[in-house]
Formats: sequence, structure tokens, C-alpha cells
Amino acid sequence: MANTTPKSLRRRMHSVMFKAPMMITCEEFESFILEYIEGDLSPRQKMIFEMHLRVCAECRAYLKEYERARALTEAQRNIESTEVPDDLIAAILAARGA
Amino acid sequence: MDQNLKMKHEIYEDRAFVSDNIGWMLAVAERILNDRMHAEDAVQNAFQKIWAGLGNFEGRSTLKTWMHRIVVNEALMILRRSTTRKESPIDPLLPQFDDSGCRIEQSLVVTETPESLFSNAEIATNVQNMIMQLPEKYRIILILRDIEGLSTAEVAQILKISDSNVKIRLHRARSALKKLLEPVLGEFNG
Repeated sequence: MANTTPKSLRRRMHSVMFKAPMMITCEEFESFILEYIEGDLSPRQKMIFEMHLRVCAECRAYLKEYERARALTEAQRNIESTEVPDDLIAAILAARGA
Repeated sequence: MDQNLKMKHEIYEDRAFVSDNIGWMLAVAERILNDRMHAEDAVQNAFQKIWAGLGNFEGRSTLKTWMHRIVVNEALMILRRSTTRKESPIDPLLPQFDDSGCRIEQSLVVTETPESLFSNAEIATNVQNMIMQLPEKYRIILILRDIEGLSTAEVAQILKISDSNVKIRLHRARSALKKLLEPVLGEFNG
């Protein structure tokens, strides 16, 4: 008898559930993430996206981590180069005077 | 103002202008080029362009935004000229699905603020290192969109690719980075 883990069982349940009207698969959900975050989905698409989000724990966790990674990336914006060599400033000013 | 005093004043203003801006400009160029020497070249070129164009600056954006675009363009020009290194494909870092479209990826157990295990500086360095591991065509778009704050249309114009191509690469870059950052973000529930 095949060893059915809770995870594979959950996937089988999902594959049945995702065939219901207005439901999308995780793969389809994935293709909408960027537009969802940027607010580019139509109201109907948004509703379908959020419906999947409600029923799929994997995609909920995935989206949460995706957003967190994005926030950490955006935080790089505040990093300024700490070491500015004096000779670089001198070279820039010398070129300015030339 | 006598001529000597005027000259001294201008030199002082130039020095202050460079000192005030060189830090963030170097950071931008280093993020794009991942090379200090090339970044310094890009910044040097950028200052020349800024001074040459300052008289024609129309104020349609802030001065910093205008300068930012110049340093980005200078860094990209150097990047295009430099030899490309051999890169790993991005596919192994992208999400996997089974035949029925279900996500195969293991779900993350989010530990209690795992970021607190690292200092802010450590996190920043980790993130920076992981971004550098992305293949260049994805890395550049992630940097321009998510760090430098350019719009999709601006990135498409600079890189001469379509808006939809920018979006596809951006999403792949974010997904791949998320995968690379998993040790920082949390632990797996295997």
C-alpha cells in the first residue's frame, strides 16, 4: 500500500478542490502574484486570487515569505557606501576643475 | 565678491556637493556593478555628466532623482562593457508544482521573528550577498525596481525590453531571492 503522507493527501484534496468553479491552482495563483501586489488585478481576478489564498495554506505561507523577502530587499535602499576614499573625491574635483 | 573669494566659494560648494552625494551614489553603483573599482568609475563619470547637465536641469524631478538616473545609467553602461561571468540558471530556485498545479514547495514554519537572530547589519549583508547570487538579467531588474525604485516602464526603457518582460523577470528574481533567503526568513517544516 502506498504510504500516503498528510502532505500528499492535502495535495490530492487541493487538486480536486481547484477544479471547482472560480478556483485556481497554485501554479495559476503564482502567475498572478506580481499583479496582485501591484494592484493590477481586476476585481474579479482579485476575488479569485484571494479565494485561493483563503483555502491554500502553502500559498499563504509562500506569499508571506515573498513579501518579507521583498521588504528586506527594499531595505537595501537605505544603505550608503560607508567608505568613500579621499582620492576619489579629489579626482572628481580635479576633473571638475579641468 | 572679489574673484579669488568667488573661486574659493565655488570650490567649497563643489566639495560639499560631492561629499553630500558621493556616499549614496557609490552605493547605487556598487549594487549594480558588484565591483568597487567599476563603481568608482561610474560615480566619477556620473559627476561629470551632472555638472555638464546641471545648467539644463529643468526641475521636472527632484535633483536627487535626476542624479540617481544618471548614476544608474553610468553603472549600466560599464556593466554592459564588462565581461559576463558564468552564471547558474535560475530555474532550481523557482517554485515547483505537481501535475495538477499544486505547490510542491515545503511550507515554511515562521519562527518567532527570525530576523531578531541577526543584527540589522548582518541581515543587510546576507540579503546583499544573496542578491549577488542571482543571474544578472534578473538581478539588475530586482535592483532597479525594488531597491532603486524605478517604475516598470523606466526599467523597460533603460534595458530596452518590454514591460511584460520586466514583470516576468522581476517576479522570478523575487521568487528566487525568497528561496535563497530561507535560512534568514525561517525554518522548514521538512
